Formats: sequence, C-alpha cells, structure tokens
Amino acid sequence: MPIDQLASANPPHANRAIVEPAIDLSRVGRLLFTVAVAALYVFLLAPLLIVIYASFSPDQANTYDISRASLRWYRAFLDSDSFVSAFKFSVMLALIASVLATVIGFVTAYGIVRFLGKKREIGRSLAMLPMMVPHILISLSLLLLLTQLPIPEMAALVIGHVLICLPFTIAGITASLEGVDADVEAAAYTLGASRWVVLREVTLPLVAPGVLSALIFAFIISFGDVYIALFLSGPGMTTLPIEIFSYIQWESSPVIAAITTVQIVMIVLFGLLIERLVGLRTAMRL
Amino acid sequence: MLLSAPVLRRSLVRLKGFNDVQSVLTLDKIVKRYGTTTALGPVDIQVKKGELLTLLGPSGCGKTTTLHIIAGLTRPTEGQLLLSGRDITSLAPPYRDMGLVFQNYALFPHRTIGQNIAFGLRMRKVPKDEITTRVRRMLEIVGLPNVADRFPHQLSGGQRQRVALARALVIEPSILLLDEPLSNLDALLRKKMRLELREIQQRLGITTIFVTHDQDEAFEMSDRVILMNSGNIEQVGSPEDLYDRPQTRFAAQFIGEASLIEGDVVEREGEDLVVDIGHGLLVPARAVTAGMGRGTRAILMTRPERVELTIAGEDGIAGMRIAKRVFQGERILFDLETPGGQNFQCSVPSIEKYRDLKPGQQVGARFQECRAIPVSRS
Repeated sequence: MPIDQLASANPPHANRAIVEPAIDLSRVGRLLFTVAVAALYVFLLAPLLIVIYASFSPDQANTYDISRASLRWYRAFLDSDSFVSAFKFSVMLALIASVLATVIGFVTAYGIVRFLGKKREIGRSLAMLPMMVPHILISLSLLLLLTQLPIPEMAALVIGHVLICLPFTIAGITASLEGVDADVEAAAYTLGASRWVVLREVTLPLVAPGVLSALIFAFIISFGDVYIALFLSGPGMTTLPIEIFSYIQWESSPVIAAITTVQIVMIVLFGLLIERLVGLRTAMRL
Repeated sequence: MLLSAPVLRRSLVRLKGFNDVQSVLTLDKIVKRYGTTTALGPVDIQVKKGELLTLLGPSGCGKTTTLHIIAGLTRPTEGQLLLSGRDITSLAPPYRDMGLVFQNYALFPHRTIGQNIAFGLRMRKVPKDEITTRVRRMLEIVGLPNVADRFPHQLSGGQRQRVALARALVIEPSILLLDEPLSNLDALLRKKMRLELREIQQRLGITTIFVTHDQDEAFEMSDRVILMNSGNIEQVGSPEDLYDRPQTRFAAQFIGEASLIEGDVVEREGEDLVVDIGHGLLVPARAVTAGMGRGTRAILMTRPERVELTIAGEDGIAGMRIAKRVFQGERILFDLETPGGQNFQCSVPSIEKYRDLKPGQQVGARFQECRAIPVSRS
C-alpha cells in the first residue's frame, strides 16, 4: 500500500469533501475577494521573498540589479566557522529534542486518547497549555528552577526545547490516534498479540505518518527557537538563531539573508514531506 | 477393593471431563461495577459445547459487557470465569483462545485480507506454509476465495464481515464471540448473512456466543437465548420458550407483539387458570410458572394474532370497545379496551366481516393460548 493511500485512509476528516461556497458572490464581489486573498498572500510571503532576494546580493547592499546576482554570501556562510558550528549544533539539538518530544508526545497522546475517557478534553487542554505561555516565561522559569538543580547545561537546553515542542507533538499525534479505531487494537489483542506487539504491528503503522510529521514539526520549532537558547545555553553551545542574533547586533550583511534562505528551503522541503504524509491541514489541527 | 482410590479419582476426573463437555464455558456469579453503580450481574451462564447461545436485550442491558468479560477485554469486579474447567478470570485476552468478531469488523486497514486472516496464526507461530493453506481454506469457507491480496477498504460491508469471521475462525478458537456482527449491513444482506453464519457455525460445530438486540436474529439463529435486562438475566430458554412462555413482564413486552392485561386468578386446575380481568369478565389462561394460586394477581399475555374478534352472537367475551383501528392491507389491527380500561391488540384478516367496524363500537374477544405471568416476578 503506497504511503499516501495509507495516510488518506486514516485522518478522521479525510472524507470531508471540499464543498461549493455557500454564498454565490456577484462578479464585483468575486473580484474584491480575489484581490483581498492575493493581498493577504503578498503580506504573508513578501518578507520571505525579500530575504531570498537579498541573499543573492553581489555586495553589502540589500538592493541590486538581478542580473548581478551572486552566491558569495552563501560561500561566506560556509567559510564562517562560527556560523557552521552553530548550524551543526542547532541541527543536533533539534534532532535530540524532536525525537524526545515525539516519543514523550506519543506516550502522552496514547494515554489521552485511550485511557482518559470522558476526561480526554481536560487532558488535551492541559497538554496544550505550554503553547499559550510565552516562551520567554518558560525560559525564565526553567532558568530559575535549573539553577537550583544540579543539571548540566546541555540537558537544561534539551529539556527546554522538549517542553516547547511537546504541545505540538501531542496535538499532532492525538489527531492521528483518534483516527485509529480502538476495536482494531482490541481485535489484535484477542487474536493473540501482546500489548507491545499490538503497538508495533497495528497502532504504530497506522499513526506513522502523524508521528513522522510531529517529529518534523518539533524539529522546526526547536531549530528556530531563540528564547530558550538565549537563557539556557552556556559557553560553546551557541545555536544558529543565537549566532545570528549576536551577529546582527554589531554588523549587517547579506550573509544573514543567505543563512535564512537555507533555512527557508529546509522548512519548505519538510513542509512538502508532511503534506505528502498526512496533509498539512490535518497535521496543523491543534 | 473394587474401587481403589486412584481408580475412583480417575473415574471422577473422567466424570468431570464429561461435565466439561456439557459446559465449555461457565460464568459464575459474574458482577461488573463501575464505581458504585452495578452494570452487570450477578450473572450465571453455562455455555454448552457446540451450541449457538444468544445474549439478547435492549442497549445498555449488559450483553456487550458480558461478551467483553468473556473475551477478557473487561475485567469483572466479582465472580469466576471457567473455560473447560480452568479458571481464566484474570487471564489476558491473547491467551484466552477466543475468536471475537466486532460490530464494525475492526479489520487492520493497513494489511491485506490475507494478512488480516493470517494475523492470529502468525501470533501463534504457525509455520508459514501452513498459514497459507489455512488462510486459503478459511477464505473458501466464507465464500471469498479471490480477495486475499486486496485491502479492507476495497471490499463491501458484507465481504468485510465475512473476512472478520474468517479471521476469528482461522485460529480455531474454543469459542466464537459475535458482537452484533450483522447490525452494520443493510436489511437484505442481514437476512442472508443470518442463515450463512448459522450454516458455517453448524458445519464447524463451533461453540458460539452471539450478542444482538434484534429478536428476529436471535430466534432464527440460536439454539438457546438469554434475555437480558438492566444488567441481569431475565430468562433463559429456547427461542420457542421465550416467545411462548415469557416468565416476566419484561420478557413478554420485549419479545414479539404482546398485550398485557392484569387480573385476579379465580380458579386454578393444574396449569389452567381462569383470570378475572375486571367487571366479572373471565379469561382462561395457562400459567407459565408454579405458585399462581387462587386470589393472586396475574398478568395475562396475549398476542394480536391469538385474539379472535367476535361480533354479536358469536362465542366470545363481550363488552370490549374498539379504541383504534389500523388498516394494514392484508390484515386489520384493532386496539380494544376492556370495561376496566385496559387495552390490548387484536389482528384479524381483512375480510368483509371486520372491515366496517369503527372505533367506539362494542365487540367481543376470544382469547387463545393466553399466558398468565405472576405479578410479583415482573
């Protein structure tokens, strides 16, 4: 079974068809509507386009004639030890944090969906709570707590990132698990599979697309975090956003735009992958 | 000398073995409580080898809870569960050796039909080529020889239901459990599957417990029926027993179309009673149970097809008023009222004699095969 077919068999709202608009707009109305939607997208995406444009600048200026585009700032990024090591560190941190957040998120989501019964909504809301709290406050309180506890700084950073990723992984995996009929698990159980085998043979394959997209989401969130890293990272533990942050305090050059463009491309690729796996709309349902 | 201790023990074991053949599964005072509310029981059930036993009752009567307790998916609060004499009360489902068919079939959506059916065998570490043969044979038994490579979503409801049955049967369970397996099918298919299910069950001779709220299903398929109501067993018996000799008010009302009229027993001779239903109107009836002596209250149970409507000059109990008339084509259904204000139904063929009877008119009624149920037990 191709993976996309598998995914479309699962999401609970997969068969909610896209319906005709309830109201027929007049010709003028339709025109206004199109303009408004276009304007919205320009507003959303223009900053990204400007960054991409600036990254190909041939000199220090942010505006230039497009025919003079160059890759020199990309080379500058790769030649800079501090940027490259910050990039590597961020990738490593994001990998650890996202895997942990996904594992913990799966277990939590499973508990919420299968064992909470009528209290499911309360459980879900509580798990979503960290998302409502500003990251800087989470960061501050973690800092206060962790100075009291003998925890290595790297661990503190990982804990912080797991914390901000968890609401997203829990939400995504909960949505996936709700699409899995509890009777299907019970069927495997009565047919002779232990609980562990049921998880491995039935539940995980059925929620795999959701789990994978939760992993990618968590990776992106951890990778882009500033506030947690700002408070909790120690010497030799500079993440890419922090490196960029401290760089632009002193100087400004299109190298930042180049780095940002690399990240945008990375995230777009991840986004396409998620779209392939579960459909972005299902994954974003929080 | 003749019966030394070991011999005696051996023959006792053999005797016990004999008993086990009689009762494959025993539910001994099973109770399920959630907090302080009792959802089920205490319930005693004995399932005989090879029979199809139906748990019948309205939703919330505890029939599915009972089935889940047997399958091990729900843990009873009290009581014991014995499978062939062995206590399995706290045994986890994977080790119970029961085949459960779910209402929504619960097939594995990410596996082919062949893989679905093979699952239980794979869990039992059956060799690969044996799995292949057994899966193929099972698909033939349920009449779907060519679907092994398809996925569940590519099959129709009726086909999925057969696959679910095959998946439960292929492990050769000691008991087959069916949880409303026909309720998701359309009416026509449901009738066909009833016969088919029963045919397969009898051919394989497999002990089966069937849960349904549909009395037609229960009657057509079962050897024995257990009627349940609000967590308790109301009556156990053959379909004929349940229909003809309901023991309680609930049983009478739940099964078939029944009218209930209360009265006093004025005469008793063996099983035959005469019951006064008010204003001196006497109705002959048969007692469904002992202990309904003269002077006790009784409920008369009649069925529309067992009441004959009589008009002036005919031999019947006069003084009934027509409360309602429903023309059904072939038959006419009358709602009649006794002088005491109790209502009962009467169904007559649609012939000229009855066609012009109107509500408000006075007629008579002759009761046939009327049953008397004690009030105290209802």
